[in-house]
Amino acid sequence: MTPVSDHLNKTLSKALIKSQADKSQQEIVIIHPEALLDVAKVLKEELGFDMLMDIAAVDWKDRRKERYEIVYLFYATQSNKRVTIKATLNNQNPSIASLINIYPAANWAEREAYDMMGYHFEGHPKLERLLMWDEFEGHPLRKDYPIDKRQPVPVLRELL
Amino acid sequence: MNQRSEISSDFFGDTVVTTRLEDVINWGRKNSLWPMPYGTACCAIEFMGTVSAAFDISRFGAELVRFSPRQSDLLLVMGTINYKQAPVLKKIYEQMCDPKWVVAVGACASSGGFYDNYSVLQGIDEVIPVDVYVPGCPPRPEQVLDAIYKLQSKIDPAAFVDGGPNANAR
Ligand code: SF4
Repeated sequence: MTPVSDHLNKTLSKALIKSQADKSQQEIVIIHPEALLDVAKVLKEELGFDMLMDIAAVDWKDRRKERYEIVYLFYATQSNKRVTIKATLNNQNPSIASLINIYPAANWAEREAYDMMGYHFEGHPKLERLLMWDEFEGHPLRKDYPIDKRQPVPVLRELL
Repeated sequence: MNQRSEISSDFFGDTVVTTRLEDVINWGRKNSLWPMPYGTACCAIEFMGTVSAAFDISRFGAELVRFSPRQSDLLLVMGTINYKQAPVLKKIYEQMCDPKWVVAVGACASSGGFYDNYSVLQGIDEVIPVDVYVPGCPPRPEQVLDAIYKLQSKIDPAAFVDGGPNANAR
């Protein structure tokens, strides 16, 4: 049972790299990163995946040639179905289109992926750090960030 | 009141006690510490045990827990302090009136604990001065009480609890 990739095969066959099902028969679809916006539109408008649950960023470091991967988790509230979309990003400049115009929920998730992993999201209106402070240098969840590296203690920002 | 008090029994009987001003002030300070709990993680749960009946911090005069730094003189930092939290902690400390004391309760507040990573301050003494460090993850309530003890003997060197450095000299 692979309804999502079957549908994508018909409408957007160029976007698809591969699809598989995990142990709980949930579909995982691997796509070309350039096709993300097209795929997301189809998911939302034709397949009823109206909710973006989360975005995850993976750094495979030496275990893969293309080390950066991004994972989108979608949910269809009517049919109670889930689908996982994955894409591999460029080593030098991990960059992909922002989903913000299709799924507004992507806003902070993408900022977090930028903050922690240094992914770039084209079209994001405010791609700034979400968790670390502004003076922080580097992206701490990248596997080559030194685990015991310390940075200067931030100063208090006035809220008002 | 304290070993140094003298009673001029000839004239006043036992109605007057003489001592030195600094001794009276320190006596008052050390026996009425007003703690402000700065609890950010699991160690703060242990503080609840410390103040409630079984361990009863009020036996040592420190039961009047304040939730405003302006009304307290003992800052109890209990829990993990991360880098973004550090300037907030410093501001809270600066808002307290002198004299003031700080206890770092638990491994996290003392040294970062096992959070040896990019986000956690490696001990609150990077941003504020600390008087007593309490080891443990979390420390038992007795250890928190012991920290109060230690602080009392620091405030008044002649304190009766476990002597102070000058306890015998006086
Ligand atoms: S020292 Fe242990 S118990 Fe205390 S805050 Fe840290 S992790 Fe929690």
